[in-house]
Amino acid sequence: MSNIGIENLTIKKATELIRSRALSPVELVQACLNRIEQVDDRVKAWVTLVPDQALAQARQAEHEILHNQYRGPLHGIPYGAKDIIHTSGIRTSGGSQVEPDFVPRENATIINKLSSAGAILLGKTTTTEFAFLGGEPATRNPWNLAHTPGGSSAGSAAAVSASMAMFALGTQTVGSLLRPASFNGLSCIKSSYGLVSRRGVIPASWSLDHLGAFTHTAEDNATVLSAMAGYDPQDPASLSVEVPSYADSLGMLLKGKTIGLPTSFFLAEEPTITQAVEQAVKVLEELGLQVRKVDLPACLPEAMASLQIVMRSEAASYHQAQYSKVPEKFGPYIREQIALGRQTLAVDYLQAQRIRTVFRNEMLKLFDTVDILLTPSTLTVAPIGYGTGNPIFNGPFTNAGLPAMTVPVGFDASNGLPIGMQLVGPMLAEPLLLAVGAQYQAVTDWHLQRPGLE
Amino acid sequence: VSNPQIELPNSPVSVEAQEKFEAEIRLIRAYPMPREIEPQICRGKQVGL
Repeated sequence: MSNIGIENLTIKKATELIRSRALSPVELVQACLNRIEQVDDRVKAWVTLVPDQALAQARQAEHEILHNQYRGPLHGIPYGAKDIIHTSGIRTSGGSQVEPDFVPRENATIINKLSSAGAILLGKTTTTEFAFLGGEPATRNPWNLAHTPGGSSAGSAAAVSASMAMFALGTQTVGSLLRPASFNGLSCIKSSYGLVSRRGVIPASWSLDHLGAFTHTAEDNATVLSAMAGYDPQDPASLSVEVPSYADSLGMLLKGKTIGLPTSFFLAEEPTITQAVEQAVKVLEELGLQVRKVDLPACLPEAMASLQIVMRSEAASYHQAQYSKVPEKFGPYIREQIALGRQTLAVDYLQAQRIRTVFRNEMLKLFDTVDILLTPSTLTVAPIGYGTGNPIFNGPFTNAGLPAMTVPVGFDASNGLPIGMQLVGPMLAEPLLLAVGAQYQAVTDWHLQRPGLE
Repeated sequence: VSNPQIELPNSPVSVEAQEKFEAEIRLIRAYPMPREIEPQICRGKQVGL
C-alpha cells in the first residue's frame, strides 16, 4: 500500500488491484484499520469496530480470489455502516441511550447483500439519535475539524471523507445522505423510494426512509448501488423492478438532455455556493446538456409541512412503547418530536400523506419537460459546531421518493469546506443521474481532492 | 376517551416547536384537496410506477 496511499484509492482502483492480485484484501483492510488508528481520535466517526472479524473475512476473500472465486467489484472492499443498520452479533445502538448495547440476531438485508458481494464490514459509524436531528455525535468534518460533517449519517460521511473506509452506508429521511455527502466533498445517490431494502434498519419514518452509500466518485457509487438495490419481499415498500448494472450506464449519451433550474426555493445563503453551482452548470452545458428554467409545484410549502407531520407521527408510533417506559432515555429533540407526533390527528396525518401524493404527481409532470433538475445540494457549507445543518434542499425529493444525487463542485476558500450540486430525476432515473455525475467528474477534479488530516 | 398526550410523561414541547407544528397543521388543512387523491403511504408501488 505504500506506493498507492489509501487516501487516494477509489473502489474502482482497489478493485483493479485486487482482481489483478497486486493488492490483497488483507492489506486493504489493514490499511483502513491503520488509517482509523491514525485519524479517528480527531474525526470520531466510529462507534464500534470489528477488526478481528474484518481481517478474518479479508483472509477468506484473499483465499477465494487466489482460487479463482472472484465475486465481483466489491470483493474484498472494506466499508462502514451507520449504527441504525442491524448487524448480526454487532452492537447497534441507534445513536441512542434507550438500548445502547442492543445486539441484533440478524443482519439487515443490505448487509447480507453486501456480504454476498464480498464486501467487508469494518464497523459501525456514528449517527444522531435514531437518525433524527438532535442528539448529535462528536464526529468532526475532516475538511475542517471545527465544523460538523452533517447528519444524521455523520460517521459514515466522515469515515469515507477521511479515507478510513472505501464506502459507508447511510440513510436519508429528509436530507441525511446528500447533506453530509455535500458537506464532506463526497458523491452519493439517494435512490428511488423502495429500490434499496429498508428491512433491518431502525426506522425514522417508514414512508420516507431511504438507504444509500457515500463514495468519493459517482462511478464508485454506481458499483455499490448495483450491489445494494433489488426487490426484498421482507420490505413492504420494496420495488419489484429489474436492477441494471449502473456502471454500464455511465457513458450514456447526454447530448440533448435537458437540465431544469428551479426559479425559486433553492437559493443558497452563501454566494460561493451559487457561484460554484453556476460554474458546474456551464461544465454540463459544455458536455452537451441544455438548460432551462422551471417552476416547482405550487404545493411545495404544503408538501414540506406534510413531510414533517408524517415523520413525527410515524416516529411517535414506532417509539411509543419504549417511550412510555423510559422517556428519560430519549433526548430532548426526539422527545419533542414524539410528543408532537402524538398530538397529530389521524385525519391530519392522512391529509399530509394525500398532499405527498399530489406533490409527487406534480413533480413527475415536471419531468415531462426536463430530464433532470439541478440545485445546490445545501443551503450553506458545513456549519461550525455540532448542529448538523439544514436539510431543506434535500427534503422535497425525499418527500416525493425521487432519486437525487450530489457530487462535489468546489470549495469555500474561506474555510476549506466542500460545496455540492444536487441532481434529481424521475422515478428510477438512477442511470441518468449517475452518468451525469460520472461524466462531470471525468472533466473536473473536485472529487479527487482530499482533506489534509496529516 | 383519554388524551394520550396527558398520559405521556416527560414530553416537553417548546413554545416555538408547538407554534411551528400548529402552523404546519393549519397549512395542510387549508389545502384544497381533490377528492380522488389517495394517501401516499409506505409502499414502493405507489410512488409513480
